[in-house]
Amino acid sequence: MRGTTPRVTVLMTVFNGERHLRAEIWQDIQLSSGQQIQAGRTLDLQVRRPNRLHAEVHSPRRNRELLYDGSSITLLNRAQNFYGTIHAPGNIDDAMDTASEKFGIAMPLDDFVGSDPHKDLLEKVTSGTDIGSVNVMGIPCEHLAFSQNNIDWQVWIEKGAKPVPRKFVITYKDELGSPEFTAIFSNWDFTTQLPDFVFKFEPPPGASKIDVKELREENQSHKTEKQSK
Amino acid sequence: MKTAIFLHSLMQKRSRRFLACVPACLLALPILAADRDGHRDSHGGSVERFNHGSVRHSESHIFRPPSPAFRGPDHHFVPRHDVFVHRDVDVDIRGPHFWHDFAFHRHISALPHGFLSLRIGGAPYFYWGGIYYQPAEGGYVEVYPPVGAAVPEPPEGSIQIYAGGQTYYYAGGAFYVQQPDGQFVIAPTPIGVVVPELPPGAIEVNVNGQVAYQFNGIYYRPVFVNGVTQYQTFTP
Repeated sequence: MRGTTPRVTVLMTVFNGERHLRAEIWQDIQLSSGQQIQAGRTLDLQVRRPNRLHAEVHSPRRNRELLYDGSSITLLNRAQNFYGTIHAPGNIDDAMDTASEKFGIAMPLDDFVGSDPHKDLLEKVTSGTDIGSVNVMGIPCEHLAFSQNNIDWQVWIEKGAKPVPRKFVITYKDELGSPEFTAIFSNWDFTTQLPDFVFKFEPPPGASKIDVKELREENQSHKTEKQSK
Repeated sequence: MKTAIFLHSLMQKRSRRFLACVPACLLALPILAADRDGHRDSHGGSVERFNHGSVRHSESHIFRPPSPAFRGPDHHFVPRHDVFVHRDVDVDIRGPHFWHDFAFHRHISALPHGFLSLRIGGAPYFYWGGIYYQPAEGGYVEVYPPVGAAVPEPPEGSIQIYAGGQTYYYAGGAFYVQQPDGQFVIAPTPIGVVVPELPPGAIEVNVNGQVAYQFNGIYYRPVFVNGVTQYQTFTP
């Protein structure tokens, strides 16, 4: 528990490694027309350390779920009712590494579900600035800004007895147009007990199981068959 | 220990403002932390990092295949590379294109302005905007993209796909390949490749108890790629 204060240590004991949070995510993207827009979605996260995770990504047209039960990760495409499973023993950190690096599965805000967010966030920082106090959704926060080789990132941390992140922004400096990823956090809950069934996957009625492909190589293998004109 | 090294390196940079803000971050972040077991040193992998919203994976490798040079006269066509990019957003970034409205055997009375006349295997075809037509009573009908059709450029919104050492331009269920003369010819569909979207009008079928889709005699099975649903061509 490096870098902790007695007050935080007490809080950690109380929280017992369980948390539930919601984040509203806004992401700069470019349409095929070249127009820049922001796409939004919400993320509900439930975490029980060391090896349980439940994430729901909601948007008007696309909903998906990611479950980790300590031995496997299950993806569910709710819109089309497809699901797939990856074997991933270990803890949440290992599972997120497997998901990200072997299967290319983006788990937004995975910096905040790992066992050591402090290390994950600050490990490659080269400089930082305390911008000052500002309100986020009416909550007084301290605004901190950090810089790394390829990204800048900012975090707004609630002042007072519950210093949780309230806003998080990553700016991809080396991407064309320096797009940003923004998350607004709400509903931090460290007290509700999360039972096992929250993390256990039950296929919805009529759901089809499909393969989960490992990261594709640039040049896919294939064969060509005769096709009628 | 690493924290100490980190702070030491920052002190060497005399970043006073940074040192002022670190305690605040240290105060907050451990709340999120709990038992720490094991290490994660591998940050590699071919992940489109932009979609992650992750500082930890911010240096992940990006798939960005080279854009092949077009031969022949100037083209306004700009290929899409997003087939390699994980798009976990609620926006259709490709946008609707004319060929997205394809409906097999839809009857029209007049061809779109600017159509091309083609002859493939001795049969007459007409082409505009990624859709092919054949003559029918009282007009024309939309037909599947015929293998061997040659057009000056791929349909707008085509997606570049690399497979078997070949660059394809995928649109409307057709796989175009550029020829030495600069034209783009529809090749037989490569089997085993993954495409980000189904051809318009593909119908759902059941193949050996598994859900699949069929378009012009080609079958597509849904698969998760980069965590999102895409479609792989296959032979039942």
